[in-house]
Amino acid sequence: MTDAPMREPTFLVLTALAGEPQHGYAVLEDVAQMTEGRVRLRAGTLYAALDRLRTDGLIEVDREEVVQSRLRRYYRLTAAGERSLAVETERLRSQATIAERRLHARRTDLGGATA
Amino acid sequence: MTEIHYRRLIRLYPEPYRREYAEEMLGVLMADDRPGFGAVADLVRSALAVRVRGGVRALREPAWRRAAAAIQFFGAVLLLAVALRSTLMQVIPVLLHPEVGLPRFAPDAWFRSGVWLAVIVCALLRARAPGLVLAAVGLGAEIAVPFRQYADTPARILDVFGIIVAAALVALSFLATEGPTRLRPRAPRGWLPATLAGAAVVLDGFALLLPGPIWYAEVFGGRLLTVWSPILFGAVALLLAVAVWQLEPAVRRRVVAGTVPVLVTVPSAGLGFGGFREYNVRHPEALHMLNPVQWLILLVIPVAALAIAIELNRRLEQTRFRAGGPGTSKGP
Repeated sequence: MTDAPMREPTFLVLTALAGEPQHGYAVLEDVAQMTEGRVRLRAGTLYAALDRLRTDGLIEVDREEVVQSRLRRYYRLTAAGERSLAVETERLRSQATIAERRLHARRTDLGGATA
Repeated sequence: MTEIHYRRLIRLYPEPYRREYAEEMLGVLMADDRPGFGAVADLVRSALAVRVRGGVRALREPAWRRAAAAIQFFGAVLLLAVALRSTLMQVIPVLLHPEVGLPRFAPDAWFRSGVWLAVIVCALLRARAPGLVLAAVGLGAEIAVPFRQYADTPARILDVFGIIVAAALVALSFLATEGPTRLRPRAPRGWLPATLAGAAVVLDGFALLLPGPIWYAEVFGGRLLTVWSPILFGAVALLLAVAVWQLEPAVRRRVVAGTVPVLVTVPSAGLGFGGFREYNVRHPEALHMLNPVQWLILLVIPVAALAIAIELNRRLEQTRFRAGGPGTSKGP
């Protein structure tokens, strides 16, 4: 895993799995809910992300079950995934803090005008 | 969209990926309330991305890295030999008939010779970035030669298309080079017969100086040939076969797969566009240029040939080593 910033779907999938192990469709739903419907992943994108994250050792299979004669696999965050998500969260927080500070300064300079 | 439709689309993914995720994906696709073009586009785009990622990952395998080193060296040696032969073609007719004056200076052939020589040095030193840049320059020079004559002799591009494809493969193979640049050069296995094959190509140029008939043949884009040419080109083929044979089996299979685009391009450009070339030779005013579809065919053939050859090699190895061999389990 490199130190490059994560792509948003990757970040959202890891965030979804940070709560508890989830299967693919639950991850889709969770991501849509977290982003208030702004990001609605599709199956192709989701499984490409899950596959990449498994290869990088950031997630792993938690358990499998068969529902309506179809395989359902639950994924969970690994320790490496947890670290990676923490690093990315910190990076985003730091950037958001800078942006917030500058916006605040701008508003102050403009005497409170927000237009 | 029915499950059958989705199953068909999922076939676009590599087989190990399908084995791992197809059933899960189907479950998600069938539960998703957004069927239609978006779902299809997402599957196609994602399948392509998975295949590209798999290809890039495969290039990092030791066998592919060694194969890339062999392709760089063998390819650059042959491209150097062809460029040197071109320079001889400019000089030798004047040596045979001094009355015609000084030889025509051919800067492009000298330039290509210099570039491919530098690429060989980069291949020996495993210098990835300089090798990639120089090979790209060499590729550009190989493309520039026929394009200078494209306006009046468009068929020239067909004559040298195999050389252009070979130059592109040498450039691409530098992408698989990894690790620090070596301080001491190290040649791949088979370097000696490959170098001798290059020497035989150059010798064919010198053979024009020997007594005997010289004739123009419309093979490989029109060449001056002597009675020695069949012997020398036979020797080139034999020496290259020996060079490839000296490689380790896994590396050899990959080098052969990497050579397929050139092997396919030469006859397809010659036979598939034979009528076009014939017309162009007999009508120097060249009213007919290559149309966009013909360009597309020319570009698609080597790319498709390479993809098919790599896939066939993967399947061959998977079948051969299925019983517990390394690197045959699920890719991702």
